[in-house]
Amino acid sequence: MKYLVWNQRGPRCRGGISITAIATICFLLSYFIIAASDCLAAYKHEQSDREQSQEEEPFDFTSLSLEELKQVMIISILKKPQKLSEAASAISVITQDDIRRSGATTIPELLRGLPGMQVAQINSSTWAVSARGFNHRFANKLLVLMDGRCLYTPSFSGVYWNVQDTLFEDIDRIEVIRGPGATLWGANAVNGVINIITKKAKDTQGGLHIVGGGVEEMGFGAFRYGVKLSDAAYSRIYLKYSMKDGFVDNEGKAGNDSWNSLRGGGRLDYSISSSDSLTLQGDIYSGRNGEREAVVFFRPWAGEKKVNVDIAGINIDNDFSGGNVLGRFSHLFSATSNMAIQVYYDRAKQCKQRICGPNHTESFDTFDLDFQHNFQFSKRQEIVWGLGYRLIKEHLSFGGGDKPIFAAQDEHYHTHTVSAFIQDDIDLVRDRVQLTIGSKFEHSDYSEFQFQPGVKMLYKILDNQNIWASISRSIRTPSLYERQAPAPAPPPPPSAVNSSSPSGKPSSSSSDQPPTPVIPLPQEDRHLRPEELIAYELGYRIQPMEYFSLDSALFYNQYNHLIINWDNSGQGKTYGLELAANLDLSRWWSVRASYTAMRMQINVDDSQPGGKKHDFMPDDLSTAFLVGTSPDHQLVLNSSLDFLQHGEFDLELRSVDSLKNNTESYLEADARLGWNIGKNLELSIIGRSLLNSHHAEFVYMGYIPDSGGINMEVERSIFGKITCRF
Amino acid sequence: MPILREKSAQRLSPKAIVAAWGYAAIILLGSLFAGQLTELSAAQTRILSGPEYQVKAGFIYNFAKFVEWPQGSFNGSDDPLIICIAPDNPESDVFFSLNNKTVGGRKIRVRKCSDPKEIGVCHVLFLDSTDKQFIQESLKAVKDRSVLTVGHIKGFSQQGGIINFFIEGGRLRFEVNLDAARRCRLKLGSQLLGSAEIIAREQK
Repeated sequence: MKYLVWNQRGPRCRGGISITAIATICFLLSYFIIAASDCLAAYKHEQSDREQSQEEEPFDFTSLSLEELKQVMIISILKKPQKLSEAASAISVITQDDIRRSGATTIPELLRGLPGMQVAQINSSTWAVSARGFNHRFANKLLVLMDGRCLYTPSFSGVYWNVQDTLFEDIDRIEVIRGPGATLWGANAVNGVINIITKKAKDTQGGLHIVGGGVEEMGFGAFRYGVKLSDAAYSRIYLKYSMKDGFVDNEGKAGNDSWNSLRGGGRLDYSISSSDSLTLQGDIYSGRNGEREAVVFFRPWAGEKKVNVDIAGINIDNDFSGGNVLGRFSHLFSATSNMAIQVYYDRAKQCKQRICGPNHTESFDTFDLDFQHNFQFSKRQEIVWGLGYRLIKEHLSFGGGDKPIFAAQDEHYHTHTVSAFIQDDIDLVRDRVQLTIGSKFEHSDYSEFQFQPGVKMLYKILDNQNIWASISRSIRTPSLYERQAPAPAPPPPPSAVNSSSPSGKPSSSSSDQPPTPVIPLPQEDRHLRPEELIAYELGYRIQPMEYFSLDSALFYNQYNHLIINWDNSGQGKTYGLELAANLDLSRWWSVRASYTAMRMQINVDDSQPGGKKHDFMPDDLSTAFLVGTSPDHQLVLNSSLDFLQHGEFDLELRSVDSLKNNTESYLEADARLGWNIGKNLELSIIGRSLLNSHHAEFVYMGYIPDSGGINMEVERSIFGKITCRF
Repeated sequence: MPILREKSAQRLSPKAIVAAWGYAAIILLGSLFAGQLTELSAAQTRILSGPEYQVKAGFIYNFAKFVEWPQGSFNGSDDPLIICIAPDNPESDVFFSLNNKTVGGRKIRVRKCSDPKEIGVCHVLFLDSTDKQFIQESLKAVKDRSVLTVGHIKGFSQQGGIINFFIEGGRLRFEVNLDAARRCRLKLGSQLLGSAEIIAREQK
């Protein structure tokens, strides 16, 4: 078996370096001039404000009349974060300050420090992100939402992390719930829900410039401006650009996984009256990233009639683009009853251009309508119920490209999903015991009526400690790829093998014919059952001292009908322990730690037709490759230190155990040094993955023995960042 | 193992170049426009701003000025006017600055209460809570007394509270429930009613 790495440029990839350089220089120059003038103006303004305020005494508001008081702008005092979360589930929250001090430039990087989360970078633009196991590039048991919009690619029921982004300074918080959140969130929330919530337009008034760059993070910039339209209407717009260098492969050679993306968007919040409010928001984006993909080649050998199989890493370019619009209307019936209607449309398109082989384009149009009603049912019961409808239109096309081998295929699919949920929060013993029961009901074209109930109970032992437990059932609908991908790919007819010749003529010592790649093509629909999870969870939180808190969770998950090798041939269990501790050593120094230990035991039933494994896949590896894998132990330590009034120093250490897919364990460190000049200007230097020049986090092609030159490794990156508000 | 590769420089597609230019152009325009706006707003008269609780204290002091309590609410002519804050939040400590100020010849006394039973003696009761149950109980405790109840939660008027704060456009506004005031035999002055954003009546 031979492994080839082709690194030729695709037919559509042109563009002179000189034009790029000129464009970049002009863009940066103009940007700097403008940004600097804005920042300087803001700084001067702040200085003069400070001089004035030093002279003023605390103002006596009783001296004002009612009419005068009504003109006073309110400086809102931020609500203190909840001392102890009182949810009967394993929940973590990432605040805006955490985001700022992490120095992260992508959403997956933000999630690394959380207990129970598995985050591994595959190449510069690709991640494997999951909660409680089954981590994979195509991890499909995690639901990710941004402002109520599902960031989900229906083809594999997971997230393309290279596509999902927003302006981090506009994020209010990220809520991460491990375990099935199915009673409220829907069919994909098997192992967890990530809910990214952006700030209201009112809280992002004024201007913001961000510019930075360095090693690996070649350059990034962002601009946001928030405008008040009237007393009741606020808006903002943003733009964000980033360009990242590619990593190196496991032989230390540069890969083609560079990545650039441009996105923009806006939000409008309008309070129609004191009981009605409307939000409109949207984004558009476009970008390109490179990738290396393992492809099976069939090679006719000289003088022999049989066809041999080769596997090669080929470079592909991936163009992605898309956009979304979302509207949300909420109405307050009374103090104890409110409702919200949300509707959104999302379009996403990815086009993979292979050097040799068919192009692959997939586009998705999602239309979603949700209704939710929340009311006090009795003195001790609060009910929330809702209805949802989703239409997904998928369009997959294969073929075209330089030398089409296969006839182009065009496939259209429509999926309708109707869902409903109801949840009742009952105060069993006032301020002591809370019971939550609920269920989600779902019907889609591909899964029959599904019932996903859950029971949770929280007991507040004392004011500073509580214990909770839950049992729930959750399902995951098979994705389009699972229903359609063939295994293994059939060999092409010999005529196709002999007549086609990809450009570039890869020479091979053992062949006088160029190899022919085989890309799996969709087959007719096969009937699969949804995957099922029965989850048992137990949690305990304690805050013995004002400055110390500990959150722990135990879980035992039983999975049935896991889809492995395109059949419901798998079943198994995962169990683990998650710990998170927070220690505020002083006002200027706080330390956090999170530890996760877990095991995955997945069995494949060979007797089922699809359960047979391919020869070159050893047992453990094939399971790790097919359903994902997770480290047995993972420890993250985080320190945030303030110094000299203006300085900030943040450090994160991560120790991650080895993975079953041949990834070795690693220890890495991220650091950030920040300096605040006034409240409007912030300079920072950020270093990521500092301990190794490059390290592997996820051997994506681990099932191929000796997969040299195919897998990418994360490189050390150091960059500077200037943030300025005006 | 034959490895074919060609060292290629980082190149951007024409699309990305156009995108970068577009980005630059929008930033330039946006910044110029934004700069103009900032200057405009800075040129306007300086807007007074203050922490929410200090401004609320100012409002409540003014409310007390324009409310007439029925006879019998005070024992003597120099009895203090009692403003209660419930429950006891550290944020509302700024209300103590109202102590010793006078309203209609009466000195103000500020008290903090955490139990609905303690609030019977108050003339003004500020319910600094979003706990509907607590508010319901507190309102019940002062139901037949002449207490000016002030809240800052949606639906406070519907629950029977008299004055309710809300924030609109970053500024405090308030609504008044006239029927509730009448039930408590409180007379609200025209200045107070004139500044109220909403005057609610309970529908029968």
